[in-house]
Amino acid sequence: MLESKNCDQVTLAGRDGALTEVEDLLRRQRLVTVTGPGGVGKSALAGALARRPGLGPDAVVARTDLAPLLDPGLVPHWLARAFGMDGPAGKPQLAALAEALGDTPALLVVDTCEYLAERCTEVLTALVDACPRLHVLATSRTPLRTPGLYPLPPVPLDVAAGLFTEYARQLDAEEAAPDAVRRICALLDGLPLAVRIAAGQLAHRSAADVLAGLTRAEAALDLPATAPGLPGLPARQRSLRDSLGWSLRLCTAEERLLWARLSVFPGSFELAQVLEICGDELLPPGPLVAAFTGLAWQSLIEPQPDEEEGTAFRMPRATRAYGRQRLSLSGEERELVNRFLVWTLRAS
Amino acid sequence: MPKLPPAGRISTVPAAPTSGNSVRLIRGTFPLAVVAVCALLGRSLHLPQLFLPLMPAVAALPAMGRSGGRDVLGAGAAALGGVALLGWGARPVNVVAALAGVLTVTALIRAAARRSRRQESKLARLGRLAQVTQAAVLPRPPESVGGVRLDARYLAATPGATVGGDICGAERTPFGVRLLIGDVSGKGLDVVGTAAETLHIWRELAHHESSLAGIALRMDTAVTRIHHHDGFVTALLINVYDDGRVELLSCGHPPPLLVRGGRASWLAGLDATAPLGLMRMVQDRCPTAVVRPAPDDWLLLCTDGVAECRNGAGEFYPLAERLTAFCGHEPTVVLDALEVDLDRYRDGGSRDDAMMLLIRPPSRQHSS
Repeated sequence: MLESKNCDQVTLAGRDGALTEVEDLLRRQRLVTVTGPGGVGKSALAGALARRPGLGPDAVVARTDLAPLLDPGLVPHWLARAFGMDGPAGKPQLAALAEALGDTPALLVVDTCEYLAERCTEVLTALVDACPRLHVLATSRTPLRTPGLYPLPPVPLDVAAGLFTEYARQLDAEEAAPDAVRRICALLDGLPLAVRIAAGQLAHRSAADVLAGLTRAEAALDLPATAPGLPGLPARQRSLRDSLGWSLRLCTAEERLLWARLSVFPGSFELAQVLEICGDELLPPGPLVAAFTGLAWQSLIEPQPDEEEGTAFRMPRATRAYGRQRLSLSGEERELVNRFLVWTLRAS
Repeated sequence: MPKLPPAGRISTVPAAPTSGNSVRLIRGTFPLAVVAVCALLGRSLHLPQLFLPLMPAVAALPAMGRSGGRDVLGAGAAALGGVALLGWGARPVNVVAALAGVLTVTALIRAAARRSRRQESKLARLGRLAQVTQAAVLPRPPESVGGVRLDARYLAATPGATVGGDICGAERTPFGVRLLIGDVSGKGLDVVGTAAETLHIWRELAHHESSLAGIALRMDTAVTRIHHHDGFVTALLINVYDDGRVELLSCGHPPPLLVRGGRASWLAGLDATAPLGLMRMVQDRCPTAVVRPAPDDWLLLCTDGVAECRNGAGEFYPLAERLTAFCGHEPTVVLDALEVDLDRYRDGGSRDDAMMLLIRPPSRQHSS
């Protein structure tokens, strides 16, 4: 992927703290997973760490993206290909790679582990155990079950606004009013990919038009992320819909159903309300709680920061819009809206 | 080393033609006959001094052919006899000169014959060595591996060689019977080293890698390492499972021909990936296909030297057609016929290493 230094500085705006923290964590744990929702900037962060001489100037650095890989059996092979070394042919790939690496100081960056999370956990743990000077930085929408976890949050509003302005400048678009920019970024929940997608619209629309368009959240889903002048993105991040569709493929049937049903909540919600409104014979309490935890695990719903005790959750706008479209396609929309209204009337 | 079946064209190093007894007799008595004629003419014409100087030439006669030590000594003895017969009553100085000439020539010819014999036996030894080495470097597969019956033919680009850039292998592994046919880019003897190393790596991997894709990816890394120039290897990787399924992965290699009911056709539906050494260009994509052959089906694997063989006019060899024409015989007969036909067809066209491997999967009475 083409990534100029300048663009790197842009996408990493507001990430200095995260960079240092992940680097420290990596020194202590040797196997760290950066997690967070799609488009939050996990890969950009990992890429920046790969370019820092944090582990010593002579460390071998290898990077691979597992997104196209379907066969869990080939995870060790992709890691070996990233290093460009194979090890003895008379051994299975994982053992051969461990032998080839030995105690060479090395940093391995593995992007998009979410699809093969279990196998990645297994392989990466084994590799780190076998190679005493190997450090592994993985990125995944669902956390790997390893000790080193770093959840990466969206960027603060002012950083998002800075990002938006910088992208706009790269596209030579006319300068947008700071107030409009802040409102756009607020609607996008500070998700760097979404900010970038919205800024890409400035190539042929004014900021006011972009803002008007974004107030209908589902309109934001299909905006193309590939504006001329901005560097390329992988296929799963060409639009917010692609990014969310990628997440959807990771969900269980119950999680998908709950994702769609949760979209009836316009704001924050608590588990008790969710049980009442979204629960029925298709989604009994046990599976519902499991699905709720699963969605939180995959960063598709997030704890509401300003509520006390952290019991309230919310769904980012684009995620909700995507769920709402799926709810309407499933034919359940009217029923769920009714349940929500009944509950609201009773509660008031 | 497993016993190797006679490969199609293990040409032997040209051995000394074994001369028959009659030839040997004629060769042995020829100097004697010449001496007799000379002595008769010299005496009857009363001109012995005219024929006396010819005697060293008689001693040199064995140099004209391939002669053993006994022939040389025989010719020398005949020449000495001639000197004795013709020298009777001649001037002593002439006799002594002829005598010295005969002895010198005999000694020289004998030394030369010895040396040439030593060289011949050395050449024969080297020939045998080359044959054994070639078979060890790129061995032909055995006749049967894990119930899969195999017949191989190799037409090397280099005259007299039995190795080149084409490789094939068959191994019984914990994952089923694994087969390989491959073609190293480049021609003839220049790529034998790479070919041997590629085959060796495949053989190791075949026993330890659970998937064909795994083998292909690791071979790709290895080929990138061992190919010192921008080379690559096309290969067809095959796994014959115990339940009769045949899985194939083509790395830029011609597909196999399926022979069914007396008709041969190229196996369809095989999606090839890039050749080994170039797989990065297709993001390591390794699509495999699975077929389930009927009990009497054959699969013919071949390399570019067969699949893309052209005649002098630049036309491709119609392999499927020709194979269909030869069907109905034993595999060995079919391959022999195909080999002769192909050799005749490409005469005048460009020559490349060419390999054919005929596979007969185990016929199962109780297929699931």
